[in-house]
Amino acid sequence: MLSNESIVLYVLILYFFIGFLFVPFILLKLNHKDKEASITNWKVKFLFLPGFVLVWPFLIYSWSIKQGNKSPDNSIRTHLVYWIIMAIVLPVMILMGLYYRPESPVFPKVKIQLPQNIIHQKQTKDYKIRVAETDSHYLVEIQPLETILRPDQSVYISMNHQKKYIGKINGLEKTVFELEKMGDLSRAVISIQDLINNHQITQIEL
Amino acid sequence: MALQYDLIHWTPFKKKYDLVLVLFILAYLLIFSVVSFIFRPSITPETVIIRSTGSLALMLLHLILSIGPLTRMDSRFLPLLYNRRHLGVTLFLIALIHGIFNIIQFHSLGDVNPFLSLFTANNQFASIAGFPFQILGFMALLILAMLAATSHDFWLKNLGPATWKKLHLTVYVAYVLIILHVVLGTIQFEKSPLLYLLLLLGVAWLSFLHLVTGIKENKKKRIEVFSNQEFIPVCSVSEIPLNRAKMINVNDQKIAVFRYENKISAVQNHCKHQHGPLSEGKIIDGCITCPWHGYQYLPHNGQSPAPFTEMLATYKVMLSGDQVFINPNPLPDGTECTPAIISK
Repeated sequence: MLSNESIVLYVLILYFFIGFLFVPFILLKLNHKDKEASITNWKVKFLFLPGFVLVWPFLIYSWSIKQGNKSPDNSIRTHLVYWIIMAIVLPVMILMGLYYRPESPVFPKVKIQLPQNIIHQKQTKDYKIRVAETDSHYLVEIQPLETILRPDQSVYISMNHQKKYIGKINGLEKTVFELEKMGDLSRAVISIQDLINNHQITQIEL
Repeated sequence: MALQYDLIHWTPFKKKYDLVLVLFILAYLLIFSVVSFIFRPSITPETVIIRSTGSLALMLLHLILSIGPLTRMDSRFLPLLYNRRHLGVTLFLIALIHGIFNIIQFHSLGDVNPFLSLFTANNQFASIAGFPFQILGFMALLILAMLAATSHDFWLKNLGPATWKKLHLTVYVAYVLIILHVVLGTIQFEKSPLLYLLLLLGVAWLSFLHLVTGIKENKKKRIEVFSNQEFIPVCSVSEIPLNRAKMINVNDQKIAVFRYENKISAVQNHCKHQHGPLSEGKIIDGCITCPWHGYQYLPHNGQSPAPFTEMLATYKVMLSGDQVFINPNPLPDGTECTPAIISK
């Protein structure tokens, strides 16, 4: 079963493939449509090829409609409308990005502290894990050791036949994750993956 | 204005423009690399390339988006506009290097196809801090590729000015995607506040420029006419500088009224090439000359001088004393129209 992300990629590949198939047709049609292009040498026509592959639907559309003489006189108004929206949306986006940063210098986050009642701990070559519990939650602290120096790592927990993303670790930062109590933690497996390419770094059975 | 298409229609000005651009790019990359290696000696060359090209592309995009409104504010910025296409293609090439090195560094070391890995490696679409920001960069790169590939007169002619213009307005979509790419990507990891301050400053600068120019243009005098009106008063002769024009907006139709020698003629305001504002141009060698790329037209019939074939719509003009009157119904492109003679 293809994921949605893979489908997007395959649709893109199909779009470019159709674009390639259209190249000979476009080159033939060009001689009738554009007198200047018909006498232009092939080196220059070669420059147009990426455009044929990238914007072929636009070209076919433009050739199929009668090109009027009307100029888009209201273009300044179009720019203005876009920028009224963007002048509001873009700063909001930047501030949201800052707010949701794991370590925001502008909006500092309150870090979760691990309580004293440690119920479980484990150390591997690269990570040290400690687990504490409250009435409703497990708190899992993961401390990457000097042996594993990666910028960002995704953390997943597999429990009750379900794998769930719980957060990420930045570099060597000690991070505490809050988990709802939903099964036997002693049978859970923590998977740590590289955030960027999703390669599995390690699996730790608790 | 060419009989056949050239790869690049070089002029001495374009050569100078490109030389300055290349020198700026080389200087930026060199300074960025040296500073990076001094302050972070353990940094890899691939990381330096990714960061330097990414920041350079972002800077060039801000420059490109500033040029349009700056030229409307002050005509001294017009030289920046004449070769904006080269700037756009350069931006795409730099963004492409950034993208290629990202794919090599982060997606080509596993057993999954690097492009598939780009789309599938991270699926935290519901998270802000962990969002797969690289996909946004890839989408922006695709848009920039479309714009770079169609930055040639061939495309303007074959797509038609209206479609071409709409396609090139997607640069704003690319801009939003790139800002999101930075906000959800680098900003999540970067410790120094310099980057997001610069980013906020860049957005504020572009918003200010576009809003001020847009509001100013929108405020320009607009004349409403009814269908039974033949000639309408638009301005006085003294309002039009010699060998220049005044732009008149009649029912949202923009007309450039030119004064030259002792004559007045009127043509559509938008150049046939890239819709440059002819009213901001001059009469040079007896021809209306577009301020953007130098396309020329004869004022009395809107035709480009032979052997060129571009033609503008013309308008009937008459004078009563100092008052200029225009018939707001455009005549077909290239129609001969007797200029109104200014009595001395």
